[in-house]
Amino acid sequence: MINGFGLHKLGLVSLRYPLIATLVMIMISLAAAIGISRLEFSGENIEILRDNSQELSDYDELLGQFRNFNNDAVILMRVENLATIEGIETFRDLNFEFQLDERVESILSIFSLVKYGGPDEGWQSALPAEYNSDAEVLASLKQLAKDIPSSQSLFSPNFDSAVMVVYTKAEATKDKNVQETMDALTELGKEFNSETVSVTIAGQPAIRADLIHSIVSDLMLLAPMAFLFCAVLAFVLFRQPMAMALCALPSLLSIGWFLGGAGLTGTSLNFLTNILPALIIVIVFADTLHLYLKWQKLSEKEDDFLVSLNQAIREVGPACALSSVTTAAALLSLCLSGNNGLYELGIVGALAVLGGFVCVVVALPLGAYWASKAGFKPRRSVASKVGLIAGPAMKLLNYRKAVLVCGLLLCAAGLYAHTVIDSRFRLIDYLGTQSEVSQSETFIDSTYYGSTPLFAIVDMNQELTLDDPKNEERVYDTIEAVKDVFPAGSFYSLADFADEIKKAGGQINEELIDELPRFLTSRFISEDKSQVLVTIFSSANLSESEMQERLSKMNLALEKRKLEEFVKITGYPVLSGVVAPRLMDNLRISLLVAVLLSIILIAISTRSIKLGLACFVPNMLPIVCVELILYLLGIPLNMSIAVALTVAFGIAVDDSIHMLNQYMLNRRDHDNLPAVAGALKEVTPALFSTTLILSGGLIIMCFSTLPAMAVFALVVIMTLVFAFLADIFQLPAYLALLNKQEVSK
Amino acid sequence: MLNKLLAATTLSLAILAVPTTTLQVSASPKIFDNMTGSFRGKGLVKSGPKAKKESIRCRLSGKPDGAKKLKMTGNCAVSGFVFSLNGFIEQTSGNSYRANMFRSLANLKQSNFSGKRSGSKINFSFKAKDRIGKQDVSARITMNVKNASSFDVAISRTDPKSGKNFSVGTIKFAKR
Repeated sequence: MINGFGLHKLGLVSLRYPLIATLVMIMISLAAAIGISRLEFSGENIEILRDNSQELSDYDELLGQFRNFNNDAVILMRVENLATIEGIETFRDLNFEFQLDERVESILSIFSLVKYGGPDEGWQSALPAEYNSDAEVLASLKQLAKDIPSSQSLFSPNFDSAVMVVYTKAEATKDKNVQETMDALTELGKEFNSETVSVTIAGQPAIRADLIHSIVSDLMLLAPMAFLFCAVLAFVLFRQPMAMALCALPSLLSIGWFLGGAGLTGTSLNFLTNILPALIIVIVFADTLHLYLKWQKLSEKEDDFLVSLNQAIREVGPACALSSVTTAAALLSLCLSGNNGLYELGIVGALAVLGGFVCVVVALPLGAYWASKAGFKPRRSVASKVGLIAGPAMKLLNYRKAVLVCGLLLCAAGLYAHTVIDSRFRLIDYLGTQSEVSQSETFIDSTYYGSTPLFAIVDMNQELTLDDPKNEERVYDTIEAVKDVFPAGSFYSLADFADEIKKAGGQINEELIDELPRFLTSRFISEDKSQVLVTIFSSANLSESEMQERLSKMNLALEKRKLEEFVKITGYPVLSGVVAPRLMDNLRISLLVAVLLSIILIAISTRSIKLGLACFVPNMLPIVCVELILYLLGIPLNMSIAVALTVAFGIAVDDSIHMLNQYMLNRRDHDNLPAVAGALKEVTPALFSTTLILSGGLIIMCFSTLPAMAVFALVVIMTLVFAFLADIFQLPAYLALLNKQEVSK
Repeated sequence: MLNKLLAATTLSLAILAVPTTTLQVSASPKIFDNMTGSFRGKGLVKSGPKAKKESIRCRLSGKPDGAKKLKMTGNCAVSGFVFSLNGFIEQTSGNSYRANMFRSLANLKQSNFSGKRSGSKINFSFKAKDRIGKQDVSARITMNVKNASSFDVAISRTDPKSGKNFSVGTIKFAKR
């Protein structure tokens, strides 16, 4: 029999001291309830991408030396015609409304652009303060685009929209405040909505607020739905309200403990850990079902419920323990990605899975103990009738060699797909399908140069003054390099102001900069004036290849001007376009590590290398088959898919463990082939039921407003279905080929 | 940009005088009642005699703080800049008032000033030294209180270069 590292003894001990164990469970649950009241949510996405790479280091330098550009929201106004008095004055009013809001530090829009009007007129707004005709508006906008090319990134060429960048105060965009701030700014914008005008918000703070909103609504909707689904299914299977309650109890406790633990330890739920609540519910429910089915079966022969409960724990408990350990190991393998977000998901997820196992092995027996004391006796389940499904699998045992060859060929094709599949990370994938933020981001990306800036940080020669011709030349050369790659009007820098000052016969210098407020200069120059910034409007939703192409061109343009050692290119688009895909590549490696780790764990717990190896192909197949399908459909690998594959593997390997466990039990009294056939007949109903339950529970996640959650659920479901098929067709074929001497009794 | 900042500072300073002068129209606590609530201001202003006009928007909220004192909060914005108007107005005696609501204006050395009422219109003037330009800023503000829910503020100031007076502009305030 499988060795579950002795973890199942927790259940046996609980049954020996049921009153104390029940009190302990109640105490833990009460503590969890306190924790739930303290639970926080995070829309943070930079920290999730954080690793020790140079890209993150450059990005930190940008935020440290200049300003936190992650606090910048983008307000999009769509209007019938901006080039009319009504259109432009509406936008001007909107501009002032945001500028006067207490949460806003400053604004960049066509109304904040200035030009030098000569000694008499001085500095003035680039646009007139009032208009007398629509023709005048049109002419002034055209003139603006000509005089200040970067203004083209602030209104659309066909005058049907305009954007303004809102630099919010740091306090207003902290996790605890960001949703309130964005709600308030959204309301402010809505005041301007009419038949011809619509105002929406995009940019990092809006994305973060939307993420938090989605995480909370998912938790409030999906977790209860998953729980209800499991409970209803338990009722359908067992037709007894008490059986339903017993099977639902561990899931309920595990989700409570998980959320409570997160609340007590100050771990915020983010867009990655958001997958765990619904996942834990269905995983725990599946293990509960295994244990309950075994108890129910043993109860048919044994009248003493305590004896049958203890026996069920002894027979299925180790397999449940091992399956939890392998799932936890798969989640822990995410830590190998070297990335903060996945490290947290790995640790929190592994703890949640192990906590879930404790709920299964302790809460179910305790519940069953008290229910039996009250006169409850489990009835034969509908699940046992699905044993018929084992028929084709048993027939295929006669053609096991052909089955093996087919499996190996499929595995090879899948491994090829694993190595060539493309990666992509788009933050908007984590926003709701109906999200205004997502729609605005998409519109800005298609109409403008994007809502998320890319930055060229230019190191100044500090031995020279800022206005020294050599320093000046370095900045202008960088701008020329930017022009080689990015469209005119998609960038701005201190040079724009320097040019205006030159028109007045002046020269930009450090003294002049010191006289301006830091919130203004921080967009252009570092506080110590050792670095100057060129801001390029870009998108956070580019694929790895698109971003790499731009960066390569930019590096070439810099090298051509011998600027590579003085200029760094950074910004969120670099993180999403380069760091995130690299992270996904790491995830794929950690997935393979998870596979190997699980095989080793199985080999250790079965005390048989051959049994461990027998599980290798059947457990690789589900993952690589899903990757093959994704590759054939042209769907790139994203973070959700990569995580889903790892998590799904952790769950899918459970089927192999339960199959192996039964096989080893059968080998006590039978030869190899009858033992395999017996295991197939015995375990297939449970595997089928749990696959059905897990898939059903996860289908609920498809109703999430977050497309990434739906993708996650679909990938896990596909993997589980392939795992079920591999475990009833492939694994028995491998076991049937094993030499009986190699199998531990 | 520097000149723009200077101009904006002066403008803000001028705007800040608005509540004080309004207060003196009736020289009675009723004015405090009229000033209680939220106001929006809108207008066109310019920084120099030959400069082009700029749009300006303000938000002001008044809340009584005892019988003779009114707490004011709010701010004004010209393109690219926002200036705080937080502070208070206090009736010192008869038609004399004192205001101290300009501490947040970093570029102003003098933040306490007083004024007197004259007929239905109010003329308020002040002198201050600007921190950036170090120049003397002198301005005149003419108030025209139309009714309890709206008032206009016309601002003029001296041009430091020529010493001549020029009209900065008018801001129309209305209760929200």
